[in-house]
Amino acid sequence: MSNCCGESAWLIYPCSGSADLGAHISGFVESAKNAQNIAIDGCQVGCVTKIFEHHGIPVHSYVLTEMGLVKGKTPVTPEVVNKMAEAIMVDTTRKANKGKGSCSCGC
Amino acid sequence: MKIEILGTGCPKCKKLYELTNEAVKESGIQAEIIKVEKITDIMNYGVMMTPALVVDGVVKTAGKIPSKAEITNLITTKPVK
Repeated sequence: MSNCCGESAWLIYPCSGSADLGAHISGFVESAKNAQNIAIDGCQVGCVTKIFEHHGIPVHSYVLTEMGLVKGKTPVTPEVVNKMAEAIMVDTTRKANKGKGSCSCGC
Repeated sequence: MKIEILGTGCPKCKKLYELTNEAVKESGIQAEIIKVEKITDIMNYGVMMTPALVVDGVVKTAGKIPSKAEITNLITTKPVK
């Protein structure tokens, strides 16, 4: 759970972690509507992203097999997990900061 | 009607409680308004951001303070079955 009163919390949804949204559990759906959401799909079937599309809720989408992992073959090691997490974090940070240049000209 | 305000006691949760009280009084509906402050009870609703407004067991908003007009709409509109 995010901090109480937190503004624009980030919520992360892996494949198996989005069943609650797919089941239309109201608490999860309403939470997602007011958060920045990250969908991490294991493969190009893209179940998590499709669940968000179904709800009409914006999401930052990542597909691990498009990021160099091979389904069923790439070992789940701390190194691989950290590499993926870092890549996603860098990209979402870049997207979140887009248009927030330090020169105050709105670029 | 049972209305629950989910929140651990922060200013925004208190504000939502106040606005909901006003919306109920002004719309003239019969409703029981309950504060839910225990984190485990809040988690049972699947709510990941507070404050949240629950009407008859259904989470209507989470992570924001709706306007009084929105609250009135949420508590007076009957769910589509």
